[in-house]
Amino acid sequence: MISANVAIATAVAYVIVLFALAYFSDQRARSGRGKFLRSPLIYTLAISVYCTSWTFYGAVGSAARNGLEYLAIYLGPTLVFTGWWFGLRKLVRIGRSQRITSIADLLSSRFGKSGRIAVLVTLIAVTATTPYIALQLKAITSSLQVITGASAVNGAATGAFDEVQLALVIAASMAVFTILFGTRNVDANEQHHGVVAAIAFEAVVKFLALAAVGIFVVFGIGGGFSEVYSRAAEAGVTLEGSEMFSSRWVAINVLAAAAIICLPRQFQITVVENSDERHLRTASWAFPLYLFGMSIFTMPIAIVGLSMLPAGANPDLFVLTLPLTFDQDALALFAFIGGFSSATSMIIIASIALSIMVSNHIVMPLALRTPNSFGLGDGKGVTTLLLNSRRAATVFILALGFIYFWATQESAALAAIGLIAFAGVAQFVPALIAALYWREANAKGALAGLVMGFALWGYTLFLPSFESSSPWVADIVANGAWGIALLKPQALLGMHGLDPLVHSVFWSLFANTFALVTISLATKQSALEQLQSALFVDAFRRPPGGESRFARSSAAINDLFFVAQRVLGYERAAALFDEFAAHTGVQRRALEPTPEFISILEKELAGSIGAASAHVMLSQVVSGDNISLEEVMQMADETQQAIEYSQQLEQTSDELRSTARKLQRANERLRELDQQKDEFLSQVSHEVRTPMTSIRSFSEILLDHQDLSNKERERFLTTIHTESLRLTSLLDEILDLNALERGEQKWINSPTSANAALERAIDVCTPLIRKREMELKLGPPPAEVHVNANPDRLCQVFINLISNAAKYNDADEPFIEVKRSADGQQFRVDIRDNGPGIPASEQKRIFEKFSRGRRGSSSDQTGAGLGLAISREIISNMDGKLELVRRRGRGACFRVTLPVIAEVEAAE
Amino acid sequence: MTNRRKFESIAFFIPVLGAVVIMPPIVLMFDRSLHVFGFPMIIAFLFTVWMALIVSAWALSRAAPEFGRRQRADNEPTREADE
Repeated sequence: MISANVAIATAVAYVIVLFALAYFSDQRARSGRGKFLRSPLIYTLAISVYCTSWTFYGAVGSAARNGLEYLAIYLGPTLVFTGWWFGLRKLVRIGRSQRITSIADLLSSRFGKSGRIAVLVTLIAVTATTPYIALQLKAITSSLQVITGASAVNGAATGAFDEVQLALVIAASMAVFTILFGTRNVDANEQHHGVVAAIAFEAVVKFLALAAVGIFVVFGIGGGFSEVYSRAAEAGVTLEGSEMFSSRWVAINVLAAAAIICLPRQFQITVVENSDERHLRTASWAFPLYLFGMSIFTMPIAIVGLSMLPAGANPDLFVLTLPLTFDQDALALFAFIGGFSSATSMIIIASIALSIMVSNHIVMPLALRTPNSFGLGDGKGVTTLLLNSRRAATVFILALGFIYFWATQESAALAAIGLIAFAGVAQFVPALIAALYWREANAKGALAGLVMGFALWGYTLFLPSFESSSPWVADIVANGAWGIALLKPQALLGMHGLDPLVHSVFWSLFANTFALVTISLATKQSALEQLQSALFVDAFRRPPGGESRFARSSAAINDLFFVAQRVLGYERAAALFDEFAAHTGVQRRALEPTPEFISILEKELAGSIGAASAHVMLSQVVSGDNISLEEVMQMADETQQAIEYSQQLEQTSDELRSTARKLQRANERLRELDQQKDEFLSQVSHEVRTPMTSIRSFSEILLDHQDLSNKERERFLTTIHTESLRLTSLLDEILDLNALERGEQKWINSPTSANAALERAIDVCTPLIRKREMELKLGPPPAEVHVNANPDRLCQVFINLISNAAKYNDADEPFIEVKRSADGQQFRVDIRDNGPGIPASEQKRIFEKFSRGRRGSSSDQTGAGLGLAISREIISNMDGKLELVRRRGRGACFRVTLPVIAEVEAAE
Repeated sequence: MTNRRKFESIAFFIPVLGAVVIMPPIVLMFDRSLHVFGFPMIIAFLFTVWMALIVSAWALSRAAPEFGRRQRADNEPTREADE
């Protein structure tokens, strides 16, 4: 046994060493000689603040109770560090380029510098971390009790010291340390070299202590690894076939992977305190190696403890009780210091991280809302306010941790707090991943996700942890809130049969992610969010200094300097302004408040007071929109270009469409013409074939039958002759029409007496009319007029019309009526009969080639069906019109209209 | 740059493979009552995978392309410009 005084004195000495180390490191860093302090090794060792007393002592307890489960706590982070190129590197890059001060600041900055998100994240972090701090205090007091023999190994709790008092002293000294080295000034980047050096030192101490105990246990009393492991079953530790690799194993791996980034202290060390992102190169393998070393002895210590110590000994303290039992007091003291160092390092970093969050995201925004509260007249107002609020926050957080410890010291509520805290901070993961990789994620979505996740975590995991200490909570866990079974915290909506941790992790992360995604998709980003999301998601693509979020504005350089010196202090502000002035090649007084400069200044301020507060502060000075003019122009430009491009496309496609329509029409016309040509050819063949057939048959008869009478012979020859004539005339007509249509024939119009042409045609047709016994009703002749025409052709048209009227008239008392009239403009002839007329269905086609009226086709007086087509062609060549006129009564009436020419012209 | 793409593919593949290997069902294949060099098989397996991940991470850190830039003194405005 070690006396309490020796143990406490050692602890005090250790703390003094820490103070000294931090002090000298800080001094070196300030004087610029602390190159070693910014080495990858120190960085890696500091990250091992992950290994708290929960790891140092608790892992053995966990191994004794739950087998290999403790390994998941280390494997998750190992995976994250192995994948450093994609996750951590981007996180560190963003953290450095955006001057991020905490995880709350990161999420707030990404989601449009939202103050609400910062407050919520801070709240979650404080809620999840405070019990964890209490756990560290508990570990220190319990370990001191054990080492001084004041507790449970031999069952005699002598109470050599007051546990609560001790915890209070530790909390107070940690507060002093944190205030001294963590809040000396509001540093750019919130880097605390002294603190980091001390944490790295602690990492070495706890590793050596655990390794010493491990080597003693395994090789000193255990007889080597195989010997120890062979006793596993006998000691009651099930290593294999334990169904341990279930959903809980997966869940713990996921939680540990989340925790290595999201725990405020991890974020503080890994991202905020990072002084060179290339340190990740080393940390990526060295940190997992450290974890490997820390856990290699855990299981053997648990096995040896279980098999060699009296039953009922607390496995959580085997690391101490094993050396004590074997009278290795010095080793036990070393182990105690190792545990003490893991506890203190966690307390220090967690309280620094939380105090930055609380002061930047809760105190500062409140102070900014009431500007008069922070001495505007005093140039150092904000600096003082910041430092004081940070100090107060440190005290507040540690006080909270102490109160939690004090309130729960009699209960077992602390034991499980490690994983509960992990699950709490894991609620940042969906928002964090979205922040880094998903451009469309927005503040509303992130806020909703965090609220859902936090609420479900609180209800399904944090609340039930008080089950044993509060009957009220026990009732809720057993029966659900208000007795509703569906609301049972560990079987929400009837999801039962799951490990409570898995149950909670599933529900909280599921709801969190679901809310984040759906609300982000359903709502829009603000302009500032869009810009920030581009800065974060494209962290590696950003051109230097390309972001400027203020318009070129009326901000006076003096106002900016005033703000800057209030936050950064006169010296740093002056240095910053001078440096930028030198950079642009002007005097400080002549410095222009360019968007670039304001952006740099904002980032610099953000490094001290967080992005949201810095933005609010500068917004008060810089009157202008959130987006710079250039960016607005650029955005407008891009939009304009897009619009123009789409208009061009539309135009082109319109043109294409109209061309396609034209082509289609041309194609249709071609098909039509092609069909007409085919029809024409087949008609011609048909028309030619009929006379040819009769000519051939009659000439065959003549050839074959020599004994025909002369009369018969003559009749046949006459038929052949007639048919030949018909054929000739048909061919003539076709040629004629063809020539007319193509305009090939030489066509000479001359002033012609229309009446004379008509009289001539009537004369020609008179024999036919007589033969048919028809009456010719000829109207009185009008005044003599001249038309511009070819007289023979005009006569041909009249003959055609009159003979048609005669040929197809089958009335009982057939007649043909010819009416003519003339005025100064037109000469008009109507030729009408009382025949069958032309059915409506054929009226349209009557002027087409080879179209004969239905009656006509059956009549023996068949023509080729070209007459009307030719006639119309002829009349149109004389600028006239041939048309079928609708009239009442029987018969058809064709009208020829020709323009009249002046007398003078006619005389010529 | 082909090398860079190849590096990134490997850098992505390794942690994913590691995660798959330590999760069920693969981990269950090694959860049996055998001993390897005196260690229970499951312990030997998990620690071997772990060490393999560490060695891979080390190799990746050696193979990684240049990135980042040493920051100047703390008080200077920093503007990131690489890659």
